[in-house]
Amino acid sequence: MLRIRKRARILLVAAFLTGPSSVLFSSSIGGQPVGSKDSVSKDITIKSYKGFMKEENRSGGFLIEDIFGPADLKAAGPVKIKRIEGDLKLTTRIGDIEIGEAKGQVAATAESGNININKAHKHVSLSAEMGEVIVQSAKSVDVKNILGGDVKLLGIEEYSTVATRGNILCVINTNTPPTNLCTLSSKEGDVTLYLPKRIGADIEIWVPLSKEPQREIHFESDFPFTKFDQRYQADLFLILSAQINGGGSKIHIDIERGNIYLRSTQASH
Amino acid sequence: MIPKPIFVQWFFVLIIMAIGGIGGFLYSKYSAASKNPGAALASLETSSPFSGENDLASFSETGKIIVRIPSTDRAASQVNIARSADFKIQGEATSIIKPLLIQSMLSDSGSYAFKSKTIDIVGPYADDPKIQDALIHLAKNEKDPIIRMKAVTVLDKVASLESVRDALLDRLMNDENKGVRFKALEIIEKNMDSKAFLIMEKVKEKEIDDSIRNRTQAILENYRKKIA
Repeated sequence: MLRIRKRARILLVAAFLTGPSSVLFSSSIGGQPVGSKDSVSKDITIKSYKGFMKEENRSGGFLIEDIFGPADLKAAGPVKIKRIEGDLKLTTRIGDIEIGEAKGQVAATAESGNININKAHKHVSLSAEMGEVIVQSAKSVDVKNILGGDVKLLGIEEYSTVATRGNILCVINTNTPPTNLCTLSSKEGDVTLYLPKRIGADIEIWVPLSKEPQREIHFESDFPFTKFDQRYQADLFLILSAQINGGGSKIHIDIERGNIYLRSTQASH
Repeated sequence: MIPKPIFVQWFFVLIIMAIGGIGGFLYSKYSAASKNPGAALASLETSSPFSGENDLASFSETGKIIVRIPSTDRAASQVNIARSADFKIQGEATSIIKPLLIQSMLSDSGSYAFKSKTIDIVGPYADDPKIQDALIHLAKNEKDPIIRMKAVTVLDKVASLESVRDALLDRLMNDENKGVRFKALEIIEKNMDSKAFLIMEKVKEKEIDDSIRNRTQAILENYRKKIA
């Protein structure tokens, strides 16, 4: 009886892990506009736009140099924006998203393409069904990479949340770390987290247990641990708790098959 | 019947209590193990300068911990597979590890993370014909569309080569994933010639995705104007 219950719980976890991905994938495909069969792909090229830009291009993408205001864009093709002053809401059905500099908040979704943001002054929320996500610098970032490519966040000032199947590289540069610094979840990749040298943090790593043969997770740290502990959450998760520099901000890592590399940047606070 | 002295009676009471205590202890251990089958199997291995297993509170230096995640299936736990071997490729693609990387790319096995990292490592060496072949193999045969797209993306820098361009045209025609087809199309657009033109005429008729079909048509029209 006990064994049956245990298996049921494991199956429940498996369903939870696989279920949302497929639901999100199918629903977003159905909701997008498509161009007429006779139309020809036409990228819209704009040098400069003042005010609120609300546009939809059903037969191509956008190539925009400057938007002096907020924007709400939907495109069937790739989108390149060199600079935008206001908040940006953007969806592409196919192709890459490239943003040079965004002074407002960014909420972007790429159904099948990469997302590349050079500089974002405020919060960035990204969703990519497949492909890679690269953010060179941003105040804070939230990434959902649904089918899962790699996510590289190379300079984050405040906090980050990432959920993907692939590898995660996250570089946090903060002088005033918030209570919840980052939540990084990878199903099949490695998690590499760079932190300022003197940051205090409590790191919790959740590893789901499964019926597959014994796995190994390599956890390498540049930081000395002031505490380290392991415990089980029922028979579902192994939880490793590590504390660096006496503890402080919370870091949560979910990992299934990859390794964890905790690296120190030269910055200190 | 001779009555037993009082100390003998107490002796028996103590023996019974001791047996009960040991029984209770063993039962509690058994219950804990049943509740958490992994507990007994979990192990941590630390490398120098850590002071060693079961002495984790005394960490004072940096280093490496290997956490062995137990299986909930006891039988499966007996099979000790060192999956970590998949993840040990780091650094430059030197002449020593390059053949190993190529071999692994040509193999059907290997995790997503491993293949993704391998492509990152070999990317700068895409002008090496053997690496091109391995990338083409991944672009055509890999089951994971994200890895196929990544391989196609890396081939961009050598797309002017005929073998690479043919592989990209093949992906444009035959890949089941629209993201991979579109990425191939974007790269081919920069390397258009008469052969690509003929194949793209077929793509225009066959393609089910509106965005890809429309873009293909636009590329064909631009090419016609260019050669006219």
